[in-house]
Amino acid sequence: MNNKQNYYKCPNCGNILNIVSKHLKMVKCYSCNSTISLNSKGELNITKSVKLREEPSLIKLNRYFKIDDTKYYPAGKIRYSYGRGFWEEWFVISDNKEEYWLSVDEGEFILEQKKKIDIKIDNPLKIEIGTMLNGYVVQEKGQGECVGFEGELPKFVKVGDIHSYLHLDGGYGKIITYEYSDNEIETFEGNWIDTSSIKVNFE
Amino acid sequence: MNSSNTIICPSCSNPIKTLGGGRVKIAICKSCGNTINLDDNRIIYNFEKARNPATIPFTIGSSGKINHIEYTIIGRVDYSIIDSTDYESWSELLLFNKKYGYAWLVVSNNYLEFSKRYRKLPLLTWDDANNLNYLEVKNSKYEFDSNYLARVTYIEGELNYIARIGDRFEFIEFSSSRYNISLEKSKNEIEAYWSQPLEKEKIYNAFNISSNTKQYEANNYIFKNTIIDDKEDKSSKDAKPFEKLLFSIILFLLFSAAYFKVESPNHQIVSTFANTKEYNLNFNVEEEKHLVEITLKYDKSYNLTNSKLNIYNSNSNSPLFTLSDRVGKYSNGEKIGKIHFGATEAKIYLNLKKGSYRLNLPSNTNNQNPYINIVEGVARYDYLIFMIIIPLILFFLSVVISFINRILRY
Repeated sequence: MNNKQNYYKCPNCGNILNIVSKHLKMVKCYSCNSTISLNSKGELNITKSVKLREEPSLIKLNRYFKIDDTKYYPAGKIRYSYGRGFWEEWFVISDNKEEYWLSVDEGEFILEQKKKIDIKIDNPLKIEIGTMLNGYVVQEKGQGECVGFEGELPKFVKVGDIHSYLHLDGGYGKIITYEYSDNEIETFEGNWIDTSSIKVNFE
Repeated sequence: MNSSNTIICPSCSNPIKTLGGGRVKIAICKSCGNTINLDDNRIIYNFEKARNPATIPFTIGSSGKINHIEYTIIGRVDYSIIDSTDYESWSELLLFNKKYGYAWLVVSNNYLEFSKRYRKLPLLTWDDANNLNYLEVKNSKYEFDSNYLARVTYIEGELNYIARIGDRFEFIEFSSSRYNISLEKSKNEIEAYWSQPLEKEKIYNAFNISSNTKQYEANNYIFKNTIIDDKEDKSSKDAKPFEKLLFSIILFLLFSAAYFKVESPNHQIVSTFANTKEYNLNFNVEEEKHLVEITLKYDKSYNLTNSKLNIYNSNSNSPLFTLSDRVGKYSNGEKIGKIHFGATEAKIYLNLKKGSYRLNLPSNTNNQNPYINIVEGVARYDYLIFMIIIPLILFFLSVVISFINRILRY
């Protein structure tokens, strides 16, 4: 299998899976709800699947939305629980085929792209809110547990994965998210989005 | 309308219906007034219920549309400007919508405002913000308007941050021709809020507020009773020096207790076995700060029931202290203790002035050799315990006084 292919057949039910992302790693079959992951040899594997409960959301899977004048396609989402609530990381693709992550947490929206940013943090667990790093201020630190996903994703996730992050505020709405686990560190750069600039019903 | 969950107040078991989302931090129990941390369902503040919240027409749990979005009122925080001569007060109602998150409806005598967190300001320190003449936001110029300090006077319902009555916030206001930007400085951070004025009539209709309530509000009754806030400030200011004094006394007593213990030289005067005949032992006391400890026992653990002992000033024939019939007392009759029946060792603590003394043991008939040990500069553990209890009592009193003060404020 290669990433140029834009559809696959579900190995469980044979349903056609249309793929939009360039770097597919996981996809959920809409027909039988199987979780299908793509291994390094390009083979499809079926793994245990969890159906996410419907929750009110401005963003709907496979329904275009706009931020200001740019159109985005929500291809997938991961839901993380922090105990009493949850937030969702939406994998979205813009009109010009750029891939983004839209973080949605009870009306707070952050649109980011993965970007390698050189930030040295010895122990993110010990870092304090208000600390200045590379001209950014540590604004929030948190953790969530993956409770499931929908659609297609350019990365592997599994239920129970712990997602730890720092939000670094750069002023003027700029934000860096520093995600860390035992195995890897990923950095994302982007902006806070005003809900008033999101349009979901348009033609 | 948002869906709700119910939690049980850990203090009074009252069911509390929560209307907010997962980012709500606290809920205030209507029944007992305690503030519950929703992360662990534990009480974090007790009895923070204000007696006289201002009367406003909006109630927690009611829903209405603002800017085409249906919000539910889930919490309320009232503020009063500190040191204001006109007792300016207002209410901020926390709004929640599952899709659009949290916002605030600001209610005062003169206006209604819709306010939402604004995250696109430059990074500012509080000093920077105070020196700004204007802000550029959403392509508009916001001129510096005012800065002030306000205190939380009432909380109710659910809030997405941990608040308590008495918390102080600094505000800096910037205004454009129509909108405002408000910077708030709390203990931990600076937050910016963008706010827009609302038409009262429209919002009252949206929230189904009856015409009676409108009339009530029209009489400008809202926040009239917050004039009590001035008294509240004074009482809290008065309480502080007294609490500081109590704290100083506690520290002083603890220090004294430690000093008594640490500085005690425990100087050995004499330690000897006497023979069975009448025995006299001269000794000198060199310092008066501590007690003199006299240990009496017999070499074969014979009990002290019939023991007698006298202490004389070396130049006097009448004893200043006697031990007889198991009772020890000074010459003025003041008893200092009693030996337990059957005891085989006694420790006698005497407060002796500097000088020369004679210890006298009348001859005994039990054929036992008495052992005498005299040590000066001893601090009794009983005294130390006493000195720890006093500060504890004082500390308890200060807590009670502070609690009463808090109740009297309302």
